[in-house]
Amino acid sequence: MTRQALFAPFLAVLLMLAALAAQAQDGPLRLTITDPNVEPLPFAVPTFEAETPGAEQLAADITEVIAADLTGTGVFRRIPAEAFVSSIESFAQPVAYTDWRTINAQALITGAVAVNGNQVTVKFRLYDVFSGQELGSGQQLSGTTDGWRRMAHKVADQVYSRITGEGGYFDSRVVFVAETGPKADRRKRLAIMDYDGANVQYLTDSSSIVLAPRFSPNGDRVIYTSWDSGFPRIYALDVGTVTRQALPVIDGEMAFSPRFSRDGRSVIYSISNGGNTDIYRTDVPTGQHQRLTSAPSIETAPSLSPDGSQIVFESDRSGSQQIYVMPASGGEPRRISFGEGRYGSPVWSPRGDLIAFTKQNAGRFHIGVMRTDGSEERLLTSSFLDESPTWSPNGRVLMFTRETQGETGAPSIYSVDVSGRNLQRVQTPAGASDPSWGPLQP
Amino acid sequence: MQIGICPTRSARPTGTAPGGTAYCPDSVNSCRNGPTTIATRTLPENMNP
Repeated sequence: MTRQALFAPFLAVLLMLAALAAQAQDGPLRLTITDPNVEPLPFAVPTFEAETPGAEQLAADITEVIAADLTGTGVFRRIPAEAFVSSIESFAQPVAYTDWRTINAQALITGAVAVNGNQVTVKFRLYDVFSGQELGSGQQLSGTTDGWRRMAHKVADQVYSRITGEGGYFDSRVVFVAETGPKADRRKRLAIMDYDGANVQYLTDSSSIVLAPRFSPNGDRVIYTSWDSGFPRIYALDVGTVTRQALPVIDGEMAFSPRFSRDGRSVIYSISNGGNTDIYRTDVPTGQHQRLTSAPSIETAPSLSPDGSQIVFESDRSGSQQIYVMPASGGEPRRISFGEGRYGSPVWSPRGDLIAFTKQNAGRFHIGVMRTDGSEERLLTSSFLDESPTWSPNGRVLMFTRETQGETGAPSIYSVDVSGRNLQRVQTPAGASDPSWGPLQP
Repeated sequence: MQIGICPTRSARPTGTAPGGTAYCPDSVNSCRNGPTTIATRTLPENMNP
């Protein structure tokens, strides 16, 4: 056997290992956010270039919002500017990848901002530093200056989406109940804010109690329960014009817990009548009603599956509050919650894979998720009072209400990702409860 | 983007808060902005080595 023939197998193995190493080094940048042990991905975002005089502050503000969006996910880590060994003098200049590799930046975001009158243009590019190439194409966003935060959120959504492979959720809004005053005299108003708590605006005054606001699928309307007429009625409010109309739901003592269908055409809700509560559907344009449950127990909190074929809801028909699933047209419900304690406020994930819920057990409240057949229950939070979960548009994050104990206890909105990591309080001007997360904005 | 759509006919915005919120003098003390339009286009490839 020749010397070359003797070493040939070893050479082949070495070449294969080298090829694998090269693949690992040069493979596309990718982050799996569902991994509970994910290591935050280090990224660099030098302050965006101001391309016009006077755009410096706006460029800096936009850069900070993008960085806050990404770090706020818990799966990205911003490298401080003090660590940079290279600077971006111009948006058009070639990237010195070696300098960014030196500080272990896996991703680099560069951008530029130009302001002309009340028009702003934001440009950005995303680079995969270790493979030495651009990740996706550069983009330019144009709009009016007062929409600058939305443009920053859109850039962050693009970065998040290109690296994780998931849809983003930053350019979205949340409708909620703003609460002020002591517990004995709590004032409640309907309010709307950006997902990060910015731009809070009030949609109703505090002259009557409002409850359980829910966004329509395209975010143009909010449906909610109000005591405006002296008893609970369901209203739909146009968030663009702040005009509202009472929905033509079936007559009853109380109408509450409404949600839009996925096409926004019909509403599912509960009616309490004569001490009994059941679930109904009303087709809004025609005003036609359909009764979906008929039981002597309390059936409420309906939520449709993304394909519209099933409804998850809570019921105490077994003697304790549990979660059930039934066909969207009504029919025999199937219980899916079997753990210890009481389950309520189920919400179907927009991805269709999970159902979020509130659980009360042993004096504690939890936000949890389970598969749609009730399996693989996981509790994500635990406190004196956690309730009312709502899903982010990409089905990866939940917001919910957390209320603190005691006379001075107040509600706040928190978020947590679906793996149970990254619990954060959403900053609001006053007390806040019952969030409903809207879709990504166009 | 339109600013200052107030929920009552007589209301006029009394000021603008950060983020473009228009404050109105009626009981609903701020009101919704109109729709924002953000145009997006793809940039040509960068000149990288």
